[in-house]
Amino acid sequence: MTSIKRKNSLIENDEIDSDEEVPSNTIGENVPLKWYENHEHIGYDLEAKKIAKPVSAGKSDEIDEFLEKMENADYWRTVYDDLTGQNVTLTNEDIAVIQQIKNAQTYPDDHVYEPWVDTFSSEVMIHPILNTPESKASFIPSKWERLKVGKYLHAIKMGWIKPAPPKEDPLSSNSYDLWSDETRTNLPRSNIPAPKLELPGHHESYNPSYEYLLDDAEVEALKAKMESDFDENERATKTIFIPKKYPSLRQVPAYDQFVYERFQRCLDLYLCPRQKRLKANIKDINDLIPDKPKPQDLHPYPLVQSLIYEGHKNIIRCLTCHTSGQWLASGSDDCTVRIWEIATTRCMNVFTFEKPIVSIQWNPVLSLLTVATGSQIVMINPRLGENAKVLFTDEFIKQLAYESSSAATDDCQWVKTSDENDKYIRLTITHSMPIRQIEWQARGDYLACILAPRSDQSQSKSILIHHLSKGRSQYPFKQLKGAVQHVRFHPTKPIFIIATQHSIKIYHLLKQQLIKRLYVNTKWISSIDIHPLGDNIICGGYDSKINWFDLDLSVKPYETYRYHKRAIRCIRYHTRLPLFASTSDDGTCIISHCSVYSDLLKNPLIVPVKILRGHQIINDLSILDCLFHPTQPWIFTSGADSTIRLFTN
Amino acid sequence: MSLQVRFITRLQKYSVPDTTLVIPSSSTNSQLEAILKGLLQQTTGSSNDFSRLSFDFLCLNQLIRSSLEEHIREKDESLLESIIEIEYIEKFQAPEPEDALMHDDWVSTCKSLGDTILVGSYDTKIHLWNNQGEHITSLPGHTAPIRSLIFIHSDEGEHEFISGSHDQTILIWKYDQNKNSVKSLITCKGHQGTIETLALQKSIFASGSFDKTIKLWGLEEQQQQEQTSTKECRVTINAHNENVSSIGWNSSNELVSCSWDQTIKLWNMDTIQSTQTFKCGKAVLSLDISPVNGLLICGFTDRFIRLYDTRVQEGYVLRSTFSSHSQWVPSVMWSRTSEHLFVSGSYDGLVKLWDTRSLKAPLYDLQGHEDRVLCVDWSVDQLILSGGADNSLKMFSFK
Repeated sequence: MTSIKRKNSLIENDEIDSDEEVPSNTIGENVPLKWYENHEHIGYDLEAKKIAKPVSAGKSDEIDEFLEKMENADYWRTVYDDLTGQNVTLTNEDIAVIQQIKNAQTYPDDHVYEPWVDTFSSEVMIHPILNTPESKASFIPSKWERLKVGKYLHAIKMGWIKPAPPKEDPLSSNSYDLWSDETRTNLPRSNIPAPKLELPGHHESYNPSYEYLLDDAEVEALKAKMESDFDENERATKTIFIPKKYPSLRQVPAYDQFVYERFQRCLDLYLCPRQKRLKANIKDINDLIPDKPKPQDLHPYPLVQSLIYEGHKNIIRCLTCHTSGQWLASGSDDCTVRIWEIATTRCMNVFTFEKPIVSIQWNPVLSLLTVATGSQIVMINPRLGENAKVLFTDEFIKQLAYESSSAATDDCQWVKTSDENDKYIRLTITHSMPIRQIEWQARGDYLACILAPRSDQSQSKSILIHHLSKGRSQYPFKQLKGAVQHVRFHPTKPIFIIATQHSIKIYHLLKQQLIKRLYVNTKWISSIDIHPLGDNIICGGYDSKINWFDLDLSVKPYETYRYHKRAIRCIRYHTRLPLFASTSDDGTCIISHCSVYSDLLKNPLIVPVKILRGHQIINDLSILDCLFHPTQPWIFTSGADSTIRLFTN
Repeated sequence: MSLQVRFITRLQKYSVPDTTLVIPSSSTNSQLEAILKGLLQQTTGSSNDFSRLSFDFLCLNQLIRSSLEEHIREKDESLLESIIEIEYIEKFQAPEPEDALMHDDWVSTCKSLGDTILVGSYDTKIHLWNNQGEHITSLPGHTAPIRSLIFIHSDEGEHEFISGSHDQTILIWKYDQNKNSVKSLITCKGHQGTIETLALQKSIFASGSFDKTIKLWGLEEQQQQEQTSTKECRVTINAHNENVSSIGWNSSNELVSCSWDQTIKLWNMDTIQSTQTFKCGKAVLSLDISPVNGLLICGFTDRFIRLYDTRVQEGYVLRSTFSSHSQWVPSVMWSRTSEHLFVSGSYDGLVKLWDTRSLKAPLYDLQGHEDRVLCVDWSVDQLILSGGADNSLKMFSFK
């Protein structure tokens, strides 16, 4: 628009230049020239005189046109101005402007950057541009709109218009939130902002009111209060502030406690917990107790003391029960072995030896009661139980190929005794070292024997295995570390379990290799037992811990119990029922229920069910051995008070 | 509080008129007895002396042992509103301790028949006594303690009996008292465990052993009149999973056996089949069947005595439980004539005389033993025998 204006102005300038001959037309832009077509003039000049229509201009014929074209060199830049009826020759500048307009270029002129006049600005001016008053309609709600809305409302009420059905998410039908039931694990850190410093009060002002100022007595009182309220350590971290008055800020000295207080503040910040500690939200203390079945639901197990077997005169170290469940044999420090009728507590037989009895076990197959006394193993046929078996045992011993042999090793001697010489004793094996424990293999042919070598002797000779039918003895282990505490045979497989002071090792006897080594968390193992199914081992220690090993699960304890107060002396499984018992020097025998599942996915369920008491504690010893009845839910305990007690269900 | 009661009885000679009385609810046996005696005095009108008599009172088929109100509250409180019928019976007379027969060793079993008392002991001998407490003889024969004895018959100095022992044999004895000689001795061999129990039925007897079997033996006369002979069993039943602790004949062809395997089994002896098995949950030590009403009592290791009705086909076979002993009950025996009375011996050293209508407390505690009681016997009505681990056989009799 500016360029056109400019052009107009140029033209005007040209006209001004040639003003003398052509008067300017005043009809304005709004009057079209065709109104003057039939007149002699084309408009009026400034003095309202008619401007005569030029004769030649624009009305020349073709020939004149042609001649003009041929003769006039400026013909191409000559234009006819309707308004004045003159031919105008454009100057070079005009041409340049036209060229620029045609090329859509800006005019090279500083007018491009003319200051912007913001006529309709956002600023409200006191004098509005348009002074029309606001129309009334703009204040009145529209009637037609109201009617229209009323119609819609009515239609919605009548149910003609229904809201659009919710847009169905194409994914929602066959997709779901994968993490919907995932609990939030990454909880946002709940930071606590640093504690703020207390804002200074009036008394800390450099120019406090007079009521804040302290006199000498008050200062003394404050110091005395400090002395009495805090001890020396606390006082070191406190400062006494005494308000002082200064006439002007310039006179306030540097605060002498500044560095100290900053330092204390830093200490506070560094010691202050900046994160919220999440406390476990325990509403009921019972929630902490693991969900285990109640003891009442786990019957049968031994409950009450029923019978007492009296007769021994010293500590009873060991017990064994005949497989029929009718006879019980016990070995004591008074050097006797007694055989009892379980049902009546009748002592059926007494065998006296020279040394205390350390270990005793009935042969699982033959009628042979095996007694370890001192460094001797004595096999007795007590002539109890099945007659046929008693006779067979005598025959079996008699027909054994050896008479008295020193066998494979020189360390032990086998001596047979015929029934003419002694009614009961059948076989004696004499060792060079005292015996700690004997253990029959389940088939009753092999007898493992732990010897107690002196500290200067090799530990490898501490385990000896006797072969009854061959009359041979051998040391199965060439080297053994640590003192052997207890051994057991696997109930079904040729596997041998050795408990030394700190570890349990499981050996395969046929392959002659170590299968497993169990890591025990007791300091000193006292006793072990293997579950009748052979997949679980319990182990008791002198530090009163009980470890349960699940051999399928791990070589580390599946569970550890610490329910005894003193050293554990003996730990045993029941051969038929899911029970095990542990006896301790604290005078208790604790019965636990243990369900073992053949399903590998199910862990054993162990519930302690009953504490049995009865034995006295004599010289820090109480119950030394315990033994389950082979069939009944009954348990025998033998103790330092030289009694055996039977607990029944 | 007072209660309305009416006394009834089956005793013809001590009947009272059918009147309703109001008595205090706290009345005990002695007060009831005083009231009843007053009533009797009124009825007969005579000066009959009732002071010697004593009565026991039954309410709701249970002997009253506490106050009347407590007794009824235990059963059914609603009855307190109505008229209560109290039956009275003559009080069972207390047995008197008569004698103690000392032995050399534990008395494990005893039986009496007529005038003769038969005692089996742990000294492996059988001892014969008469009921005056005089020792007749000791019969050695077994090599191990004797566990069980039964009389076959006994007349005119000739005694026939069977003994079972730890030595796994059963001996059938014929002993002539006059000549003091054993006429014949038959050895029954076959058991592979100690003989625990014997039971006789006419000419057949059964034996239970620790080898888990029951064997049946015949008592037919031996052809050859030899002094000693041996015998084989007729039938062997693999009855239980454990020690057969006691057996008894229910009828001529039904045997009842109990075992440590916590079961009681009924056997049909015609087919040798088990007809019923009851699980008890505790090892059963002893049983006896009442010759009067066929009910079964059993002694258990959990110190209870339980009463079973084996004739019941459905529902609870267990009728009632008697709790007063504090130890195992290895021996129980019914009265041969009364349907309500039985004795029990326990390891707590007490023999108790029970009425089946009183569950919590026995009629009488028969004291005297200083150690465990191993056996009791009430085969002869006037005589209760008990033997124990204190080597003595105690005799209690009714005057």
